[in-house]
Amino acid sequence: MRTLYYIVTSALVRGLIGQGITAFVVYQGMVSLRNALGYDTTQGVYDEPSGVMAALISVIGFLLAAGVFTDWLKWIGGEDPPLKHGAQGRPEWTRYINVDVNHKVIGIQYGIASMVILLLGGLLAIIFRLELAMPGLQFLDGDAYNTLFSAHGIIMIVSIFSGIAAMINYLGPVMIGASDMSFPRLNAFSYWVSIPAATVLLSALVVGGWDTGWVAYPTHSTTTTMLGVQMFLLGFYINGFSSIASGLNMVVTTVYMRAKGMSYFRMPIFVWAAVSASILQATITQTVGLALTMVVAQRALGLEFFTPVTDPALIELGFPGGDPTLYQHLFWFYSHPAVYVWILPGLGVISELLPVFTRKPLFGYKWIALSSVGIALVGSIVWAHHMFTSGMPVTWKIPFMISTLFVAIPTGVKFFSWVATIWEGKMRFDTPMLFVLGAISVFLLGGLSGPILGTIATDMHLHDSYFVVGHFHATIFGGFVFPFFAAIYYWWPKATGKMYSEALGKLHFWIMVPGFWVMSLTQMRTGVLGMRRRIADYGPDLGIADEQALITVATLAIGWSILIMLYNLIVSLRSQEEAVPNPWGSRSPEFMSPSPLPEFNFDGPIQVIGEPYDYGLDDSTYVVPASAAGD
Amino acid sequence: MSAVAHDHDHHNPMEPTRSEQVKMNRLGLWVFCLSESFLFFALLGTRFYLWRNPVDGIIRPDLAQIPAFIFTGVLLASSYFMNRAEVAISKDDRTTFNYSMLLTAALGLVFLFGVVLVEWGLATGPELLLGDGAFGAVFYAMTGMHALHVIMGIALILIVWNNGRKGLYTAEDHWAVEACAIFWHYVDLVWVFFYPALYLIGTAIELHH
Amino acid sequence: MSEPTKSGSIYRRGNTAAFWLVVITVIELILALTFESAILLILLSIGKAGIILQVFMNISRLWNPEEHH
Repeated sequence: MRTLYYIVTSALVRGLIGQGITAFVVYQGMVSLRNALGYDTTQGVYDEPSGVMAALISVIGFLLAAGVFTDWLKWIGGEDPPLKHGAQGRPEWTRYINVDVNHKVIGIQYGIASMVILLLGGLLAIIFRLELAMPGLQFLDGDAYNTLFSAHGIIMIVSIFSGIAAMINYLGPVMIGASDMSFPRLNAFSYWVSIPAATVLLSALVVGGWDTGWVAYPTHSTTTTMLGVQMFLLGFYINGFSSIASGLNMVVTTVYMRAKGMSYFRMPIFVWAAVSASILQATITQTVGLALTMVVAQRALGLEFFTPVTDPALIELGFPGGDPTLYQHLFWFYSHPAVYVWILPGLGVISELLPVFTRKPLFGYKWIALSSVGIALVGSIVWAHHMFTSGMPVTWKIPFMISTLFVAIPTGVKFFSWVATIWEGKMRFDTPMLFVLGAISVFLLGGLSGPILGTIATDMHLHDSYFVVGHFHATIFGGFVFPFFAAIYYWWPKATGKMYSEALGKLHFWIMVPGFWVMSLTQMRTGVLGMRRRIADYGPDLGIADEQALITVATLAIGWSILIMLYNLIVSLRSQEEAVPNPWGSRSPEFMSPSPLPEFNFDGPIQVIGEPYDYGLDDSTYVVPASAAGD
Repeated sequence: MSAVAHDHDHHNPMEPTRSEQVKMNRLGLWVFCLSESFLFFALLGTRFYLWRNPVDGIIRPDLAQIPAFIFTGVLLASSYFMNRAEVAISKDDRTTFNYSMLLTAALGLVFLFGVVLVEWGLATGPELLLGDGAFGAVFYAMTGMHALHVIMGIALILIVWNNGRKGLYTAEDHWAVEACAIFWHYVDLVWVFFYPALYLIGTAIELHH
Repeated sequence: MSEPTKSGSIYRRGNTAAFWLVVITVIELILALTFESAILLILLSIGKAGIILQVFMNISRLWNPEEHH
């Protein structure tokens, strides 16, 4: 009974109710207003401009009802409310469904959200993979298939953003020896705004679905009659607020909250990756926001950004028309670097964990640190390689091809460092290490298939084929999914104080990694043989039916292995056995403190007195409590 | 289960001091401005991408020059008074602070109504319609996105003015005023680029309706 | 604690900046109506932006936080 009360009065439930009521009231109000003004509001499953307005305002409804704005509203009134720490007299578990400013709570909130969304996105993938296992349409029609693959794309993207935010939030502050982020309330806002964003996004599935893929290129997205597209665009857009705010927060935190003695080149290497990703997130997200706004505005207000001018009289006068390639530029200016936002924290995890499990110093610390920045910078000037077949002048294509191939340099730096770190190390094959090695192998597959697509001549043939699907999944599994799982296993005892089962962890690994290799390589093969992406069906004479069935089997294997992981983790929470504070023999600051970490991470300030990755060297210390440093 | 150790001593041993927090706030606001710059640069990029034709190269719609020039001046003047308000509070000159803040907000409102009533033609009938191809789309997108920031800025100024009246800011500690000033000048900064891009640069194309 | 100042001397920096901003804006308008030079107009805008960033927004406080007016 108490439990039910705590759930019903939690910020999550209050927010959802607030969002629902706001959406309903605003929608009805807008429809009445538009009826009164003489517009026809009966076309489609809902009235589009009213729906857009309702979705936008409903986010504010959620945040007000959940109490995210409370402290800021008090500030407007001239008060200076202190930060609220702890569970406010409720049970500890309620912190995870209420607005909490602690970076570890927010990190775990993101982590849970990420896994829930991952399961949903994976489920959608499995549904359309079953459809694709055989030639011919079995149980989905075209619209359902289009909605499913479009939703799979964007839902997985939201899951990935939550996943990297989980890692950055949980680990970032404690790794630099801080008690929290620079702006704890903004941090809570970043998390909580992503919930109504997800609701708006998922509502797209209910109000008619959409068929534009996650890229939503005009002129299809501006003319499609599947009205779910508006909710998809808005959900995507609102999620951007979360990205920008959390990116900004991490940048400032890293600049100003590092422990004494922790110069930039003595930070844990994950922080370099996190901050590179954060700088990207805080800036480039704006351009996709604009691109999405433009599509929404063209659909709802009639601003013609993407419609070429056709009236001869206007052409005669010299009037300019819209241009669909404008959208592609704005979209990819964000969405290409965005994949680096997703993989940089993962690559940071690989570099972070390798020295621990090989008991050797990280090879070339400075090069690895700067290669993260390098990837972020070079990755920002390659976007138009997505548009080689969009009718771009050749004088634009060549520079973008060259810059694309340059990405291989900072990425190669990372690979060489990893190999050199492993070289002659005393390796321990615990589950996190296995996932790190799996990540390296899969990321290599993704990396090697990249230049083939970045080269204009080969891209002309492979563009929009399953080869791209295989390449993309390999980079994201290698750069995000496997390192994320490695991070979950590695920091699980730190975050919960409990140890998972090594046997189940290894089982997860030995199903998932081979499963993924089969899936990705077979996708690439079907692509070369002529399978297009985003197509619900293929002919039996294409000769890829066996491959398609194999991909489906591999997908199912991956799905089951993830369920094994979740089972393993959840069961471990109930075990009586407490994890030791530092099960891996790490030198990182978070392992100085007990597990789970205390509210403010450390008993007092800490101080850096040595190099971070001098594993296996005698008499070297990285961090000590500042009180013990003497100085 | 709890992933944060149960800890009843809710005192942060590493709480940032006020001056440390102000430094972080300042950088945070600048990173926000940098972030917004990507939005406004993308809008400028859109303007130069779309407002072209094969004959004249870069073009612009032939809009009335004098009102736009006057409103630009008004926004500039508001920025001037914002600066005056910030300097005043740092010297504890309350009277100048109060009237300068109000003047800033008032001039901001004049600019806003100038854009909405005159430039968008809600009062006089528009020179450029929403549906006028790329001219209408880009013009309304750029002025509209900027106007949205003007509205937020005016709200912020009024809040800070009100809190300032209550005596919440001192000559030493007036971060809220500084933040408000940085944001308002940033809005002005954006218009410094938008004004020539919309009204001055390129060959004027005559509008017929 | 500084006492209220009577003279306008503390506002001189802002006055000068505002004066130049107005002058450049007038030049912009005249240039646009006579020369149609995009490059010159963009350069003038960058100049104005520099004045605003330095004088009004005090960007240098980012790396020199103690500096005050």
